[in-house]
Amino acid sequence: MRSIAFYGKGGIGKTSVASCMSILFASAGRRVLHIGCDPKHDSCYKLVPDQPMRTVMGTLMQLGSDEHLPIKDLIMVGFKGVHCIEAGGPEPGVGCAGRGITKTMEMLSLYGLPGKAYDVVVCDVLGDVVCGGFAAPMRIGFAKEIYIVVSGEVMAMYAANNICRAVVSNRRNGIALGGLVANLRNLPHEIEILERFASTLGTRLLHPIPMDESVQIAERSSLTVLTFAPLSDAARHYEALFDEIERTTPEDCVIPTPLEYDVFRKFIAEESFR
Amino acid sequence: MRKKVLDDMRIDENQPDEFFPFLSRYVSMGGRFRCEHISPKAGGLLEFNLLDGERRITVVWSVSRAIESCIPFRDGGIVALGGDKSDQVAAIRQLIMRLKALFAQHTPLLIEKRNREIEDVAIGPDMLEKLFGRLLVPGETRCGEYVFADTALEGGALHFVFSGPERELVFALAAADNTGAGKVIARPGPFVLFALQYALDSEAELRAGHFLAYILDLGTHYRMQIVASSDVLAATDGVKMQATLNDFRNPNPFFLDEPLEWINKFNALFACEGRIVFISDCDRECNLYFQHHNGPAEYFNLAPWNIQPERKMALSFRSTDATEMDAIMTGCEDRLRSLIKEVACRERPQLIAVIDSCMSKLSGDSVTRVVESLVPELGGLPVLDLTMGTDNMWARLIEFFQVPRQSPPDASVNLIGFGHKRLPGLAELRSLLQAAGVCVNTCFIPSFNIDELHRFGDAALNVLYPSPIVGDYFHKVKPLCTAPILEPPAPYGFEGTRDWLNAIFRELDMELVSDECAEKITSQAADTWRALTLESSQFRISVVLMDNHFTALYMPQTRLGVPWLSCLDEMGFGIDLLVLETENTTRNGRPLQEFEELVQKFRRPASHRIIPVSSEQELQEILEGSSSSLVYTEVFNDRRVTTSGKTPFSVMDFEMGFAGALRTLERLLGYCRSQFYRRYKKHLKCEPVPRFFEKSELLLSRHGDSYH
Repeated sequence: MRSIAFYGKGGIGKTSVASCMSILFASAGRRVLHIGCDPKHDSCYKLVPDQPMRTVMGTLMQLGSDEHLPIKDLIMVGFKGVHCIEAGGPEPGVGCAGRGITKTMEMLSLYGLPGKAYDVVVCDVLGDVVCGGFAAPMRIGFAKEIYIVVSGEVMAMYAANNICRAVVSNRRNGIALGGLVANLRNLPHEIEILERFASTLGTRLLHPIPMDESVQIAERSSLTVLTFAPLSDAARHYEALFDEIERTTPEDCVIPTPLEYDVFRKFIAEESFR
Repeated sequence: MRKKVLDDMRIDENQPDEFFPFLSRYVSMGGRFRCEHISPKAGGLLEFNLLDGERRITVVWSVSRAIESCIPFRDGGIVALGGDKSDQVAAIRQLIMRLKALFAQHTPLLIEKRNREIEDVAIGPDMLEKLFGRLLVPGETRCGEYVFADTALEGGALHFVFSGPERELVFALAAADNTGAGKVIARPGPFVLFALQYALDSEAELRAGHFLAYILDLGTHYRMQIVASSDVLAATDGVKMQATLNDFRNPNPFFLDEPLEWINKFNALFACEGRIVFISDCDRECNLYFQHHNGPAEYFNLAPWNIQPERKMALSFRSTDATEMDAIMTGCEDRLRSLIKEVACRERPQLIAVIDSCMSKLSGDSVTRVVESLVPELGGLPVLDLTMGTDNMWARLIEFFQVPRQSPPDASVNLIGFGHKRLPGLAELRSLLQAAGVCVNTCFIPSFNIDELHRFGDAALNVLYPSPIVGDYFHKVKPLCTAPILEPPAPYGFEGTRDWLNAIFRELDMELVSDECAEKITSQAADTWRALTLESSQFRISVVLMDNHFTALYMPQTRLGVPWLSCLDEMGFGIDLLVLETENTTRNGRPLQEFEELVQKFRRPASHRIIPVSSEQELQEILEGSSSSLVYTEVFNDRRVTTSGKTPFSVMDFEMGFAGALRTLERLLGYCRSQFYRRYKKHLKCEPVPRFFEKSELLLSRHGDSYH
């Protein structure tokens, strides 16, 4: 079983990439479990657009106990038979979302998920790794291959560098970085900058996804671009990315070499004047 | 229905005729069995008569003690009688479920074990308040036709008088070995309860007798022992726990084992007198430290870090009882808000103290914001927010409870920082002042009495204990003081106590303590004192100091106010000042002259010696060859003392007042006579001898830890 997690700065396109990868894995005949690790519970809605969203945290809150969590009822079946679970979490501004993610991971383990029922587990994790809770997929072992969605924007690279530090911190759990996924923003020399950035981190840049308005239009219909416009250019790019990810072997995954803050600033400054 | 039940809870809990019928209705609610009536029985038993159609089940709940082969429930157990097995199980289940639901909201007085913390009790009129508090109120507590009228002490037994429509019922409570005439109803704790005048031949009389026996069983326990009234602290309901607090083990008010923050924050509030409720925004893990966790109404243990089974604090402790899901999803601010309101409404406390926990900190609950938002709704009930530290705690207490001066200042004082009110030394100081006509309005820091705090502003003088700890606590109170503040040297030793009294009398324009008066006050102790000082003159005491510690010797602040060297001189001991040279001072300029000047000020300078010591090796040799029996050292955990066969002591051993001085001398002489270290010093030799610290300030700040 392969376990994959997509990390990256908020709004960078993790959910789009993760949803598309889940669908493409399923299309390739794999049994896929897609876990949305975000208290906003917005990861699965493009995979199961017509179903009411049930979340692990919400259900636990209703039950008042975690002794009899109806885990089967929480699995939603989406496009291409992808099984989806949303962690859920507190309302914005209250509670502790990080602990909620950890709790979800613990609950899934407790109830035997993913077990042997799946070939691929795809985790779509909230934004930056701001605390240990959001690193739960790495720490608890739900994700072995980490992919970081990044663009040529400074803060996106900054977040990617931080996530690499989390990968290093949790390397003893057997996790490794599969590469950077470039979700381009049409910035000048964006691909070159990202390639050098990936090289500096000791990893590789996977097939870049150019900016395409069909992705935005598909999102407005609560769909992935693969289901909304399967013949579009954007869909082809996602398929190309999928090919690379599918071909990825453990040897392709590395422990990255994240940059210290000062070195990162220097790197960015150098790239600006290049 | 739920609201109706809650409304019903506002019944008088000391009225069995109101409470038990309510409990019957409550147990019946929503269950298969209807509770016909509940009868309290001797032995702390409650008998529930349950009916399901024609089937009748009697369920007996032993409220106060576990019974073999019963189903355990809270402090006791439950057993069912009558009917078949399945009915019994169903009846017990219904009863337990309903009682749990009740305890989740409230712990009624009439079904709660009390007084675990009281071990010594004297038979006397104050026993009623001490053991039974609001449960037995003369003129109020009614049981059927009989009203509890009064108590009287006769022949070593306490008589409980119940007045009825035709005659009075008299019950006598005596020590268990009493073989008085009368029908024995029960044997609660160390007592026996007799029915004196009548043989309880009617149902009503029997009911009253059993109710009284039931109450007695709730308020006593098997470890309780009867002592003479003089041996018992006259504790009120709010200070029951004081006898178990550390300050009673340590005669000095400020050498407690716990860090000062705990003294400040918790011990002060635990030892306060008054109705205070602690509310904590905490999780179930925290609750595990408490005795019972059948619901959110908990009694705080002595302290979570010092668990003692079977002991309960008299203070009420409530928690938000947060779960992990609360922490993840919502936090507990709303629950805390409603809990504070509920406590304010139901328990009518004088003060609510709110604390937070790691759970609330992590989930971002703002206890302070909750407290601030509730202030307008609580009708002036003071709520002490302890989450942001305790710097303002003492000042807030004064702000809460001090009322504007009602009368012109008279000869009254506040004693600030002299320790807990029940400290023997402080009790003596109070009585000395009162004997001279000086009223002590309140004793404040490190404890307080809420009722007394109302009179804080009426005092003509605030007498402060000379200690930096007290100063730290008090400095924010100073602006609130209307009376002048006096900080005389602390009242240790005969002379010190007299000087302290005179300093106060001088400030109040009163006659000073004359020699004759002092002689009169100390006349009882004078002979003993003289005999003991005669014995103490045969002993020498060594004091190990560094030569830059001279200033510290003079400053009372550095010894927490205890002028121990002059006390030792007054007690007749010979003192060897072993002054160790430090690296910071030159050999030529030893500041021994200052020490010599100090010694010259003592009563018997010829009895004392100043011995310069040039190295630690020399110090070890001097100690081993010294004739001193006791040694005080500035060096933290200095094993030289015990390995050289000397007994250590510290300022912890000193007590305030005339009688305190006598007790101190007796204590020190006891140490001098002890052969323990002389006999076993060879077994201590293997322990490494620590080096002196470079920074003497560090040592001074830790001298309280030296030996104890």
